[in-house]
Amino acid sequence: MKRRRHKRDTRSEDASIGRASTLSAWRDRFAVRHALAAGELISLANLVGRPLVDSAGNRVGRINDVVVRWESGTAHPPVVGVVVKIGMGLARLAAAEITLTQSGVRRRSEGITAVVAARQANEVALARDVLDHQLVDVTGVQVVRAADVYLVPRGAGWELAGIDVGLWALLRRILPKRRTCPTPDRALDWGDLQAFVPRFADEAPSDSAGPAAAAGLSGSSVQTAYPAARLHTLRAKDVADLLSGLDRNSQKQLAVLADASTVAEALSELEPDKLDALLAELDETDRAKLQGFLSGRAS
Amino acid sequence: MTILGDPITSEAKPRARRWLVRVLAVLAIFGPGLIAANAGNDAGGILTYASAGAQFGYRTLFLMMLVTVGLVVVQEMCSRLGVYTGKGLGGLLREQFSVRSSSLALLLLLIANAGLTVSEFAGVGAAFDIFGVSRYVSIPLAAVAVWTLTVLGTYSRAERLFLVLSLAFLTYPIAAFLGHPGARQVASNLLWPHFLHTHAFLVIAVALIGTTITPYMQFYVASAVVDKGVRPEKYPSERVDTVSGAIWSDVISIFIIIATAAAIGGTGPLQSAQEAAKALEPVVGSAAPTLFGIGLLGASLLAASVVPLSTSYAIADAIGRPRSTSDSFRQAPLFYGLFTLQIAVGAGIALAPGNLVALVVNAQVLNGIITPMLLTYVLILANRRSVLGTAVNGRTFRVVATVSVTVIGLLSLLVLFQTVTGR
Repeated sequence: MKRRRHKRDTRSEDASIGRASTLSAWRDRFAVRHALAAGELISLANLVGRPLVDSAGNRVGRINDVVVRWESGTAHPPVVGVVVKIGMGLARLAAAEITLTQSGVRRRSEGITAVVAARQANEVALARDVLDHQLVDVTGVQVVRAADVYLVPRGAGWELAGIDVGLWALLRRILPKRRTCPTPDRALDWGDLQAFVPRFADEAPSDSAGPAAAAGLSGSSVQTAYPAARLHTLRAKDVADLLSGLDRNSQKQLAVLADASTVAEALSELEPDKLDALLAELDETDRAKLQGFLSGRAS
Repeated sequence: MTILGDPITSEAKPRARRWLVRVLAVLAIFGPGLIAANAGNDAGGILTYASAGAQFGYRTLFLMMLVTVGLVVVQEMCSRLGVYTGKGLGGLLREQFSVRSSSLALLLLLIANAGLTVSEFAGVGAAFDIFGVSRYVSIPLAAVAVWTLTVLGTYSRAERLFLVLSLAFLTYPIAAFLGHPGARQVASNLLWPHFLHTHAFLVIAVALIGTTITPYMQFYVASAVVDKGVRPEKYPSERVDTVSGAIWSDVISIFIIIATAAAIGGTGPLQSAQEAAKALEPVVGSAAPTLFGIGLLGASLLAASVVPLSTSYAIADAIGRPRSTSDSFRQAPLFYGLFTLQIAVGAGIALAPGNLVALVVNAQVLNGIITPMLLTYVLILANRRSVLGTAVNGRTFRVVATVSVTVIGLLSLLVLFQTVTGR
């Protein structure tokens, strides 16, 4: 078993495309191994659907999602709460109120008093907005989809460690869920990733019981993604390649978040129709800025 | 029942010429739409429509009218999903369904499209049969050529040539008129069902549905609008294109059925491409087999690269892997691996001994059985307000779409049941 696991690790290492420095890759791998051995890694794909129990150990609901606070300058966003399904409704519990493990969530205080949470700024519901969605691996310069999302302990709580983009990490979700965190297949550190805010988040129906509302994602204000730390290292060709692999909503966000002159250089390679379509997606200020760079390039 | 048009006698010739003038006038007006629609007809389509005409005369025409409604509804939904989400169906499936459901959908797509790839290579084999070249030579060569041209990224140039070759089938509308099909009979079959309660008729009905409302086209139309960068504001004009494209493609299909029915209707299942070519004799006489062979070759090769490519594209998109022909084999191993696998399996199965036309029709039956399953996913997506926002299916549309999908589903279940139980 051990041997097989080792084999898989080597294979995934060979398969991982990109320019990540070997040293940091090894350091991350070591940290992940350590966390796994100590039972200190949570796989979101295996967590969703697991039970919520009260302090007496009674099963009262199921885990629906995990919410992290997304803030600028933080490589690993902290977990601030979980969304749970109790009966037919969804409720949100703050991270301080619960004990989170791979096998489920235990509520520390007596009884369930949680109510549907109002929208809170800069929060992301991981199962809804990150798992299975497109992200950009800035270091490896590739568009990926999260097959799993990993959480690691931070102080008394948990933080978002990264995602798994391995094929095996995806296929194992066809099998029944596990009580322990599976070995990461092709894990990417969250600090290397550029995430995007989903498109219909701001246009979701104002159904207060819906997952969007509980996760703090409906409402009038449009949330914007934060640029990843290394986003400015992308070259124009990289940006062009990434744009071609993204859906339109993520294209638009990448075009706004990345360095404007690099984006303009990447866009100038696009066919006029596609360029117009992309520019039309942007806000007036962003469009004006890019057009400025574009006309600067043309002259 | 034999339904044959009047033979072209010497008295009929001036009449034929008058028809030709009228037909050419019609073509001049509708030409662009017809050419685009014609390009959408692959080997599977042509041989299945021809087979329906040969076996059941005009009896399938009313079904084609219903199928047209289904096709319009389905293509419109897929194009709307593409325009409003800016995502292909592969990505949408992954994001909107559980891993279990979405992998089932993609597996079904892979099977359906592998079936289509088989029929494209069978089409190549059948076309070369006409020119006296053995399929054991033509199919492997075609597979190697399609694979090489696609991987080298030069397929788009070759595609233009194939498109021109496939224009041979634009003679079908003319043939349908010149074949003197008997206007009254055609009209009555178009407007009123003349179905037969036999297994063979049911099978050809499912094949017709499968080749017209094919899963491949649903994925293709969604990614085509995304690729063109069509934005929601531009959707009204895009919808006109999608709907008229769907109607035009069925107009061509109906002409193929009429022309074949007029020439060889009622003679039983189509045995070879030569037989199907008889439908074009009223237009080009003894050159019909050559013209048919050229058209079939063009249509087959046109689709032989696109069908497996679009499957690989959708699956790589869902998994989150590079999926562009501008990537190298090393950069996109999954994308090219799936492509290679489909070409190899497709060409391999087409090489198996047996009747190529029957193989092609069977591949369309397979598509017909898979179509309602994938349509269920499309329908669920287009019914979700969280996916489409204000562009979600309205109530009337939802009813029409649900009824279409259910009817298609019941028909394919019936075929499956009859095939399994042997009744």
